[in-house]
Amino acid sequence: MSTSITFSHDCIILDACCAITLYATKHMEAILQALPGGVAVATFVLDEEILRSNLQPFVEQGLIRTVSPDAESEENAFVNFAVELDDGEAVTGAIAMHRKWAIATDDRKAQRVFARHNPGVQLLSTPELVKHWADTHSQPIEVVREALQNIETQARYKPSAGHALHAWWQSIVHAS
Amino acid sequence: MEANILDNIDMRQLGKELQEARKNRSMTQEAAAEVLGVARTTITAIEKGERRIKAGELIRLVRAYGRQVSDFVRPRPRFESFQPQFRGPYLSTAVDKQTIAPYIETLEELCRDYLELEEIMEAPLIRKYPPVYEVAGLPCEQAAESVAIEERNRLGLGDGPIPILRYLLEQDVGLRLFYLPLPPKFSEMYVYDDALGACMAINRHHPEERRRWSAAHGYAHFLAHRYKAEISVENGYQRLPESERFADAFARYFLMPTGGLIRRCNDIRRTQGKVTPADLGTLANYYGVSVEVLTRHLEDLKLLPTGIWDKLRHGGFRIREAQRQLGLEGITAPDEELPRRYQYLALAAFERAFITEGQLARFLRVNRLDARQAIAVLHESTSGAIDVAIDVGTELQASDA
Repeated sequence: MSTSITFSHDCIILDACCAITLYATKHMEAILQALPGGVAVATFVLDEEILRSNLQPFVEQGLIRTVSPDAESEENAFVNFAVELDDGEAVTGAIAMHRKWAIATDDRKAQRVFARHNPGVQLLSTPELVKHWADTHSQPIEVVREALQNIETQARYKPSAGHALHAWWQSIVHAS
Repeated sequence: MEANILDNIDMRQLGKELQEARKNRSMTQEAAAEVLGVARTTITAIEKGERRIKAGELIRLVRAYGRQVSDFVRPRPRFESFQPQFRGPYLSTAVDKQTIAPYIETLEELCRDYLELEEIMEAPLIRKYPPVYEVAGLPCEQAAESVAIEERNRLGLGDGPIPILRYLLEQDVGLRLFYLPLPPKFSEMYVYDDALGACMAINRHHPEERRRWSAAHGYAHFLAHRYKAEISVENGYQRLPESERFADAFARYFLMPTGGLIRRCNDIRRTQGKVTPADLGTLANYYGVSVEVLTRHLEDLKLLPTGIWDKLRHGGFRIREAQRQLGLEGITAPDEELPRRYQYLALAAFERAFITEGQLARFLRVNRLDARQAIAVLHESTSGAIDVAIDVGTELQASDA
């Protein structure tokens, strides 16, 4: 239960769904600070109305850097991913593939597409990022519980029964 | 990753769609050329499919057009644009044409998305269309009443009121019916395409009794003039053409069947000896029409003396207040933009991981949080427990036990 993730990449690029969910914790700043390496979000993702204003403070603090496809290979990959994904998801996958970054996403279809086109990619999810923060910063269980409950109520997310951290999540949320 | 999709895509089709997107954005070729830093002739060549577009160019162009790259490269249903079908004598002024054009585009996009969802879920819409009714040359009123009776019989409606007309047309006929926030003077748009079938947009801003009227009016066009696009606009004609008079008459008889109306009026007269304004309010509410429409129809049927409506109006009859006093809170019905079936298809596609959250939000025309809320509501309404992951697309079967 206390296993922590190993980060095998220099940078983690957040997909929109993961960014929304992390923001809902109300501990996003601390969660981002706990991550080794950098954290990035594609500018296309920031175009989503609900994300721009929420993430802007983290961009200004330097906790999140905004990135765009800046090579022909990334643009080609973006367009190729867009056959199956939304633009925000496609550009995230394209940048991660060419810069060899990890991707944080909770979307099942996006995970499947990223893994198929980029077998070496490290796919992370919200529960893993939150648990990493909780473990490495020895957060009191009440604080972690509050973060997870915020996710459930504000972002309407909880890991599926098949998720590796489902039991951990449940144990925190329902701990008395 | 395999070869670049742009090396294999149909460039003529892509060029055509890029041209439509540019025009819908009211951008000139010169402006598009400026976005890419190329000559105008390059845009011409791209739009004709004569020059293969590069990924970076496509990304920049579609962003300038306010669209998604995925709209142009993912497999989507193809059909003829709606806009040309609406060119004709429907709209009297150029201003009207310009005003309604973006809504025609919206309806087209919604219909395309609906069809795409059906393809993703392998769940085609079942069309229960009657053959086109031949009404040419027949007296308008008689033809309209006859078609209304036949349709009521076909749909098993008897001579009672129709509870939620929208659901009837969507589920029992198989129309694609959207509620769009049209400008006030526009009530309804109807268009037919072989791939899509009949598609309709009703003005979401209008009160429900008017929306019902508009839907019945559009349905008349579907029944009698199926392959002709139509827009219903206030004061759109100096003299109503035959097709419009038929549609209006059909709406009256379909929403207020003569047999039932006579019986109810007679019941009122038997018990009270007279029909009062309160009765008109109650009856209008019962049939889901406005008091004006009901009263005028009763006058036409000689169930009320001619001029009653004008007398009520000039006498300051306050309909809403009267209906409130009678405990009639007005007709309520779901006014969601998207048909229920469309929403369920989108949610089911997401539940099965056929589409992503971003795609779901786009299909539902909401942001991601609202899309998550829609999923949660669906789970709660279908399971009563959020913990249970319900796949709304799976077949319901009795327990093996």
